Amino acid sequence: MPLVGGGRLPLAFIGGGALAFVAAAGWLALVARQGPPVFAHPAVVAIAHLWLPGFLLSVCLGATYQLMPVVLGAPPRLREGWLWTHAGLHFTGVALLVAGLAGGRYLLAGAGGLLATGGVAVLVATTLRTFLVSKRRDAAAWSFVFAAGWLLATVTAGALLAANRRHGFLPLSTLDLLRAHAHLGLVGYFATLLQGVTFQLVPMFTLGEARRPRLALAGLAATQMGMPFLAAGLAWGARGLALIGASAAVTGLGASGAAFAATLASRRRRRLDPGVRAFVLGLGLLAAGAAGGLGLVFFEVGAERFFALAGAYGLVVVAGGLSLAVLGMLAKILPFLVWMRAYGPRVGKNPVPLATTLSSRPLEELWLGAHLAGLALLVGGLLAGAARVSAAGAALLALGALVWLANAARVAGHLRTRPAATRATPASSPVASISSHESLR
Amino acid sequence: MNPSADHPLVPALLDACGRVYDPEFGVSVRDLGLIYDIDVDKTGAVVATMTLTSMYCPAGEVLTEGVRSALEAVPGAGPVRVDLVWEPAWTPELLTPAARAQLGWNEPTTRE
Repeated sequence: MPLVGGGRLPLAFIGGGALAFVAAAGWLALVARQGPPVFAHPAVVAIAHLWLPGFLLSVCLGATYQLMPVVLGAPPRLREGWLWTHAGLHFTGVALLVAGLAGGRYLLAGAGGLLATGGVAVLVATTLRTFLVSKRRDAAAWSFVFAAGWLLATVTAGALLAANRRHGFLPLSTLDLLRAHAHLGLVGYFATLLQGVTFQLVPMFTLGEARRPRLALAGLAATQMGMPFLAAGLAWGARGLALIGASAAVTGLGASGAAFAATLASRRRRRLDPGVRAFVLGLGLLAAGAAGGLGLVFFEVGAERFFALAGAYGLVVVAGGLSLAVLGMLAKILPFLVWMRAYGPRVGKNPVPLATTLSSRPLEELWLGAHLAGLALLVGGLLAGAARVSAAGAALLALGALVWLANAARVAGHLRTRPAATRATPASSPVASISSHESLR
Repeated sequence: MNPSADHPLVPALLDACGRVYDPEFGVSVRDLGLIYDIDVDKTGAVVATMTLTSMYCPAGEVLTEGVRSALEAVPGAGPVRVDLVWEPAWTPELLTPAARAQLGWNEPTTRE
């Protein structure tokens, strides 16, 4: 399957996401120096949007546009121009959204959200059209469709939240709507995507097999069934409904986790490199976060304690689980994409480096260590009410982000490699062919 | 399945496949066991039959094209055709001992 847009489109999304990661981590460090991050403070909400749609979503979109055609065995069924339109709408939208939220200019934020929603519509159309021509119907294939749908629901809920805050046409609490909006994105989009692509990516990078595929599919289905109850229960403040939804979603995540453990055990490359290790750690933190989230729904605590626990939950899930899972896979995907573009055409003609040698192993280890230590301090400081510990953790997290960026820049530097002159090859006979393209469909 | 060795050019062609590496694992397509057969007819035309570790391998086209280029560069080789097949499916049993050692995987092969 050829690279989408010659690899430029996925790399554009990933590059934008990488810059947003460093900016968000740096901003968080600055905010944390002024005291513990206050829940729903405009700067914190802006950072959350720079981190989630700016960093994590951008990277996932880039990976999706590369991976979806591979998984579904068909190129994206929408013109490339539309996909670039998505990139434009997405990055412009997120920039306006973050600027608007940070400055309390909600009209600007709304305009940004609208543009980002337009981009999501392009993703939904591409996903549906490509899925319909594909015959593959396992967890990996279905996850693209469900994730795209929940992403549309997320941005719609965000728009509803913003509009309701201004006009108050729905008798719903802003905080409840915010929780529903957040979980549509966190569980509906990100967790759903992970419940599928994990079974494509992990075997690919470890030379393993996707084991227990029925359990993986059942896990995905359970999460999807739980999501409407969870979202509605959170939005309407209906605890019973939220409990049903959260229980189903967590059960689904558990089933996917069991299938993932079996898949990881099947690997032929025994030693886990930092990228795969970060991914596995990320999934572990997601499991811990999911259990914590369930606890937050089940057990009632005082308001002050609730906000500290909710903050810790958000950090473990977003800065921990999701970020490590996404950055871990990015540590594998980015060198591969760059290698495909820079060296793929030379394979068999000239010696080429391996994709795994494009990045620096010491930098990867340093980033992972700094990220984990920073997260531990940030969460620990928040729970203990120790602002200085939280600030140190945020600073360490930002340092880790800079190290990560340095490594990513090193990898991307290979794109400047000039293609060597292609050797003259003997004329092919009329029957000479490469049948891979057709066979992959 | 083993590449046929009944033509004097075949060892050189296999060596050429040994210089086409999977970008992720650093193991050649030959040691991964992806080359099922190489036929050379009396005019020197080469037909290589190969597979991939997965139908969804994103580097598939690069690897098949790389094998074609590597085979074309072998002195004496005529026109080259690379056929990609999925039957029989690739299994880890096809990894050479050298590839297993490189991957750190030396356990007996079992498939669930």
